[in-house]
Amino acid sequence: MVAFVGLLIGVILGVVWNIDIPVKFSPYISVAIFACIDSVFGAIRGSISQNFRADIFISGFFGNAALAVAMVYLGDKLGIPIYLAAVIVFGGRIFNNFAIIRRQLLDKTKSHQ
Amino acid sequence: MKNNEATIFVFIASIIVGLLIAMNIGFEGKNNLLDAKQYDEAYNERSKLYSDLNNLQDEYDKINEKLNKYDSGYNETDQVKKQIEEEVGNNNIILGNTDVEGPGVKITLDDADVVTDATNLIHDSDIIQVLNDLRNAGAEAISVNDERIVASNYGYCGGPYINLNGIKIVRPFYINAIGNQDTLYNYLTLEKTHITSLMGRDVKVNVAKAGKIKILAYNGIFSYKYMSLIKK
Repeated sequence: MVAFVGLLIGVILGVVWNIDIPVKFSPYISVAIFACIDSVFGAIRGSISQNFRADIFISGFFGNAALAVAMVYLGDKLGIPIYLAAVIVFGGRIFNNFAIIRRQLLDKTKSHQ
Repeated sequence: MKNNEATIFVFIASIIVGLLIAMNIGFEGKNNLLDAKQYDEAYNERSKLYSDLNNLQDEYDKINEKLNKYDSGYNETDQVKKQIEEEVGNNNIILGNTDVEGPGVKITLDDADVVTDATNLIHDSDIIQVLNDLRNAGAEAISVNDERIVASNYGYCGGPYINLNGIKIVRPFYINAIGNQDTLYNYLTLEKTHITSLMGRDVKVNVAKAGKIKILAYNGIFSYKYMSLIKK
């Protein structure tokens, strides 16, 4: 819930400030966004299963994004789409985390009944 | 407490993600990401614009030089006059007011010997489409039965003859065009041109390259009633 509110605020801020990223950097930012979304899902999962750690989250949030961007850059230079690896891994993890979040939330609502 | 901390971090992280998304998408209908095809098109357009720019710059330089000559050469009226005459002559050639000659192609069109239906005849629209083909191929001067084709020409079918700009012309039609012989010939014999479709209609079509074609001047009058120059 709080994630959606934050997302909305972020989007509104972005629209209001109207900052344009040069087209050159667009692919990098796209992959970085994916990495960040993955981290957020990880954090939500951690908070639900009560084992959230701020240091892990912050290092993952920025580290993953930086690594993903570096991979895109490297792939660009080498001429192979390495960014696909980042996309597949992050995508798979997002779905994984979401599945776990789902299960735990459903279990919680069940045990409340 | 731990849960609370997580909520705050998730909140901040979501704001950052939202910001990044908004910055990247731009929400104003413009997409910063081009796929390969769009990139190709954009790249081609850019090079085309660059070459346009170069051409315009060249033209600008030329005209500027001419202007400078006019400005600095007030005492040399003869020279200015000569240049103006030269330009008028040039414009007359382009307009079709002078006899011109040069390499090009000769096209002969005639009705079929045995006419079974209307497709075996040469119509006014055929002539016009052939003219259009020629223009498309870069013909500089065109004549039909020695009648010069200029910008204000019109043509319509008058039954057995074709009325071209008020002059009745009858078959066979001799269309002469000055331009790059090879370009004109090759273009006209392409599959998509009207000449090629005429060949499939049993009418007599002949296209030949010619080293030296003479095309006479347009002997009509250029006149206008309704238009006037826009004051700058």
